[in-house]
Amino acid sequence: MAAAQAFVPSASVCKPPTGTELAWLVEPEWRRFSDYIRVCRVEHKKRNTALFIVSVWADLYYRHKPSGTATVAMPKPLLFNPRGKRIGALPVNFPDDPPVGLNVEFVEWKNGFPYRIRLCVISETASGNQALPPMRYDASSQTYRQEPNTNDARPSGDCHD
Amino acid sequence: MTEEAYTKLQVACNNAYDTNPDSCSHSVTAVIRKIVDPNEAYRQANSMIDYLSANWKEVDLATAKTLANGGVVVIGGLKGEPNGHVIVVYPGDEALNGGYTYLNKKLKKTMTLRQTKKYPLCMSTSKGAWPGAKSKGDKTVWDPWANDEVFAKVKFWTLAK
Repeated sequence: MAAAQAFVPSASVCKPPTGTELAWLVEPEWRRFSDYIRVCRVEHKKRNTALFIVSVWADLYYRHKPSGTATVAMPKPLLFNPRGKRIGALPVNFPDDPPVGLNVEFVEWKNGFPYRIRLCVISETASGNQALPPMRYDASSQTYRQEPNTNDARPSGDCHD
Repeated sequence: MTEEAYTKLQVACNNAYDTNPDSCSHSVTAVIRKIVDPNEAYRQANSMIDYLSANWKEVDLATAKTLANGGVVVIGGLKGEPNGHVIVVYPGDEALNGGYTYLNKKLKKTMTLRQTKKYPLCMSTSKGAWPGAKSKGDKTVWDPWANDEVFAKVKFWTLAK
């Protein structure tokens, strides 16, 4: 079986939000970042959309800020199903929350939907890249929840199996 | 007695920082040898964390701060690949994290890390470029890792009695 690969937030799958998608973001904290929001389509076998990641792209926000500018807290990335139902939130901004970045891997696909999300903080700070506890989809509540920080969360810091 | 121990730990941390600026494990070992056991074996960060997990007592952050202010050695650490990172909790009042500049390589500009919360101080040295990992009591225990979710994985130990 091929190893899972990190989701690549390319321009082909990540776009500025439509009016409908912007309406999903009801919290006022998103407003100041509206020009920097991107919606990434996570597809199953490049065909059917399984879910969307909605986040503020830090690079776009900081690109034209002056050198020395202070980093700001951005809203946590949200996950939506294709019907616009909120199904979870990532714990770290995606793709970046300087000085770190976040890699996500969608795994355990069933019926065109990923039931598990692996998370890896990409970091040049001390201890380097760090795996975070993965998120698991709970079908009964239709939401992703981060698993407890157990041994399964690969606490050694190794983001690879 | 406590004030004397406080000063002794402070001086040991300062000396360890000055004499081992590029190696966290050497600076932490220097503090342990000065305060706890002059014959303490040297271990690299990941090995030291394994040793502390097995032989020292894990404490929470509030306890770590109280102990450090009483002159007791508390080591913090997180394993990583290829190298983890270890620090000593530095005596003194809590301070805000962040507030220093760093070079964002992706954006090719300096940025100032936002300040979000007060934490105990730390002594930390590093061969890496991350400025948050270089502290002579002027940065907090959060700063070497600089991310809330990663810092949640950091553990603290004191000598079991």
